[in-house]
Amino acid sequence: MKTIKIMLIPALVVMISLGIPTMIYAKHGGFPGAEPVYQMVEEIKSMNLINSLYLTTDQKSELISIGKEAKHISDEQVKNFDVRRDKFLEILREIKSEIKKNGPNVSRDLAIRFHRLQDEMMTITKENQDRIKILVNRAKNVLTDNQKVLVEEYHPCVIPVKDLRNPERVGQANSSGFVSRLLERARKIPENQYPRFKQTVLDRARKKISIKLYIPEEEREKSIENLGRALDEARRLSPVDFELRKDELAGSFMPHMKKNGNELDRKIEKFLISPGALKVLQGY
Amino acid sequence: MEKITRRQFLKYGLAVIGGLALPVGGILFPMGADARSYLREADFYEKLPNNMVHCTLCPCDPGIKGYLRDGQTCVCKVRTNYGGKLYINNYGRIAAIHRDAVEKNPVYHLAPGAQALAIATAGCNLSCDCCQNWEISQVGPERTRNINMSPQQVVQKALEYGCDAISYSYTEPVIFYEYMVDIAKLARQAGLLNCMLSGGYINTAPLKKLVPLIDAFSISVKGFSEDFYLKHCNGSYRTVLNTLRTIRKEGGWLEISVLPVPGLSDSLHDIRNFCNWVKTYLGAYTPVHFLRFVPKYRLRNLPRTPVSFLEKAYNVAKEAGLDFVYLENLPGHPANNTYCPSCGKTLIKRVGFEIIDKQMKYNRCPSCGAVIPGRWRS
Repeated sequence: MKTIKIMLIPALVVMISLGIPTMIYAKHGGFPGAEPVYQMVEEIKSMNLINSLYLTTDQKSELISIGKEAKHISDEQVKNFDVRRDKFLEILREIKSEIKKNGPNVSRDLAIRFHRLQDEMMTITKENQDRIKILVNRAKNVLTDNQKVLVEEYHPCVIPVKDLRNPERVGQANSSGFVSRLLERARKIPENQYPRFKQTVLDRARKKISIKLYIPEEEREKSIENLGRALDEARRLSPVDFELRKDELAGSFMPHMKKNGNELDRKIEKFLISPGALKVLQGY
Repeated sequence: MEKITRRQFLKYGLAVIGGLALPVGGILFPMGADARSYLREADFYEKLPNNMVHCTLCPCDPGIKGYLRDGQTCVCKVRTNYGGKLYINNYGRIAAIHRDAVEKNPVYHLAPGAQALAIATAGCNLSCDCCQNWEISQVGPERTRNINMSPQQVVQKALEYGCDAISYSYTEPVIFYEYMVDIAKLARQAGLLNCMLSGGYINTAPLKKLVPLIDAFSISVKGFSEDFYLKHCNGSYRTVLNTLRTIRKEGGWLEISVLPVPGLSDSLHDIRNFCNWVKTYLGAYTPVHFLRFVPKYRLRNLPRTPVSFLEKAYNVAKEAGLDFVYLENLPGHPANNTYCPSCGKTLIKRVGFEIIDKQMKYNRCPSCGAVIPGRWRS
């Protein structure tokens, strides 16, 4: 029973600290009908960011205005696609029928029609992306430098953290996060029980991180290795050095995500001028 | 004569032996061998007849007033009268140690971006309902998990980790006064800065000895009346105001933090009066930080301070003529920044405790050349 408790508690702690979303949140693994859930999740993520920015009334008005324009562009795109969808489906049916009849010999005329329509849709998408980029730049100019830093470093979450930056408050002794407490626990485990404890923690962490499909495979493995090293290091350090380094150790195993392009622009688009963000801003 | 049973004989016999053992044990073993190693005689006290002592470090609890009989421990939980001498039992026993930004004290006009080794022992001479560190401040060192470090080891560790300063913080450094002074002297020799985050509940004499050693004081004002301090902190407002004036008079660098608690100390009228007092007696250049209250300890039923209220407090302070007003626990808010009081230029941009941009030319505004008060270190 004691062994089970030893295994369960740190595993639970690692799960929570990795912020494991459930399957229905995962964009890559969503099931049919998950759209309303996904939309609500995105709205909450926007809300958490907006709450931490202390926007002035003017900033809110500006962002609402930009958000409305972004929504208009998005609605226009959907309409444009709707208009072309039936045509596209018809062409695709013809292609399917020809491939069935003649193998990989699709007529030139059909191929041209397909590519022409595809190019049309890609052009519309590209034009809309350019228009959104302009809106993102406008939104950037609304924010102060301080706010831009917060947006850029924002880790989207459903359950909000206390503060986006420096969760420790003025005058407060640092309270250990989940992983820090796990490391503290690792220090106390008797020598003969430690290998089993470590293996259990790593196995649980590996299992939980495996469903985070947006983390590349090599990063997941590196993350697990780093966790193992952090546990070993935590045991090795003197009491003083552990207190001074535990936050650094706790953060050392978090996967380093490759950033796709400009993080600030991406997050402004996704969390400040999106339809979800517009709903949140209009609600305030 | 009624016969007593064997059980009764044993029971009463043991009780008598136990009762006799206590004073005898106290004489033969006045303190556990373990406890004895942490004891050090206190610096500020008077010996009185009948083995009484009078601690003169702080005004103390309004009931006790620092007068301790033999064997009595003061409300700070770290000073005890043993045989007519006052001893401290927290010397070298660190209950919390971390690396923090100097800004976390909060001290904004000292060394922007510098790292401090922040330490605290258990205990406190106040009992604030809103204490954020109550787990270690409202108990003595026998109830905390401590790391033993000599002053030399503390300084060594600060240097090893590349810290620029040592912060005496979290609980109440007044109650580890002797330890703090010893560390501060060594820190000064090693080129480190000393910062003190305190409730300001200290008598004038020990404070005057402390000021030359401390590079920056961050004094926390909990409320704005004697009544508030008595009811919610078990202390005295007058003492805190006196501390602020003494630091100023002795030439120390002072920053003040104020914690408006919803429903208890959130009157704009009181804040205005306090800001006027600061301007009159301490100078308009004294930085004042308004902290957002977060429910803790005995005030978990109260809400957080609304951001809108803090913004009003900010405006009230500026209207009162204070040059440097900050809002804390609101990372990213424009009031985290330092602005030139002459031309309004943004001198230092902060997000929480982190510096994201610094425009000052040492201690001057790069735009209008105005001197910005502080103890600036690069």
